[in-house]
Amino acid sequence: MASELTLEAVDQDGAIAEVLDELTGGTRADFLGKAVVGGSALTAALAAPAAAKQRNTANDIAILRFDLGLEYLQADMYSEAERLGRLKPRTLDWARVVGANERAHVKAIRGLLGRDAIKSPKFNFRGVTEDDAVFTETAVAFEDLTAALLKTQATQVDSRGILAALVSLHSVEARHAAWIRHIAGIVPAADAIDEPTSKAKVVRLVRSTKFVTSTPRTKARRKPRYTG
Amino acid sequence: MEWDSVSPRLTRAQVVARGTAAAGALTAGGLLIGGLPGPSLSQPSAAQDERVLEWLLEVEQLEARLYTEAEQRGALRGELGELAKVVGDQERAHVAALERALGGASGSKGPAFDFGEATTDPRQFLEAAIEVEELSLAAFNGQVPNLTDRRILLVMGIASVEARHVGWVRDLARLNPAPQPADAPATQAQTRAAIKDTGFTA
Repeated sequence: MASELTLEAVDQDGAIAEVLDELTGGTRADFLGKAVVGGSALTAALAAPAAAKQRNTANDIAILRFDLGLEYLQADMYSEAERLGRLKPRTLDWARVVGANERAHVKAIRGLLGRDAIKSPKFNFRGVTEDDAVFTETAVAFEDLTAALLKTQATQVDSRGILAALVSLHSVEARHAAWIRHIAGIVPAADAIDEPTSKAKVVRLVRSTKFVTSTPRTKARRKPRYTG
Repeated sequence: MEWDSVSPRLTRAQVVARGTAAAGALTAGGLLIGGLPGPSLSQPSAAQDERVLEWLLEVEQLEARLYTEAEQRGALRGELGELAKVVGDQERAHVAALERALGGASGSKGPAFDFGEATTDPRQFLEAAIEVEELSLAAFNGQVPNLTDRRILLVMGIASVEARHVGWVRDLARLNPAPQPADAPATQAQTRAAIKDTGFTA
């Protein structure tokens, strides 16, 4: 339940349009600083000012918020692996390149959501970012499932523009999946046609990792509890 | 590993050249997405689905032909040979799936191609595979927004595997498998031009 709330965190009032607070402030600055390296043109275009775009439907907002939560998780996990530098050289290369891509995805999806973007949850990767075998296995699961989820969502979004954006991210996730599989010595393309997967299955994976330690607070002003 | 000695490394100049080309294409794709335009053809319909699938079948026939010829000529060793077999099987399955979706085999095998040494020389094969996979992926990505929901899963299910092929081949070639955070779509005209640029059209 906690993970599902975390990733969706739907706030009907739009109150979550407040800027990222100190919980993620440093991380966010990092995102914005480094995303440019990987993405530039497309990222900038994807992150066009919200005012210039049509309003997203409630359905599309829910889909994009779920994806944003997933991208936050991946971006943070790979960025942490890069920062710690404990993985084998090829895995570390993967984390560096894919981390930059996922940070660019965060920025792009935040751009699509505009004021409806959710803040990042807090994560604890529990040593996974320092253990090559576990990191690789986890990354394969996340990349395969993200690519599969985006297929399902492509049939669910209302806006053809958002569909086009998801399609352009989708194949990058599949590239990531093939690459980490190749590093791990697993067949990069196991089937002739990749199947879609449900959001429920992705939620189960996220919950099983126990990486999410706090949900983005949508009622932040009412409960300013910073203890510890 | 065995394929370390088999897979030639592309020169730095080639890497840079490819990166630049990709960045150029990306700008077009980025603007397309950022501006949230409609589909490039018209509103999705069953009739339009058919035209799109016929087009993508043509692209798949090029891919299938490259790997089938490489496998038949049998000159590629190690992981390159394995790749030609695995990817070839999948491209032939894509041709069959698209033909099924279109109501049966078209009878046409598509245009003729002359791959020259690209199906026997390891270095040329890698370059050809990267070129053909990248242009195919962009062609598939470009058509998804033109499809009805009924066909989106089929086309994305294939595009996803093309993206995996790109990732695999680029890693083998020691090129960044995912050099950009988003893949640019290509129109039919852009893809036709890219196919012509390969020099494989007989």
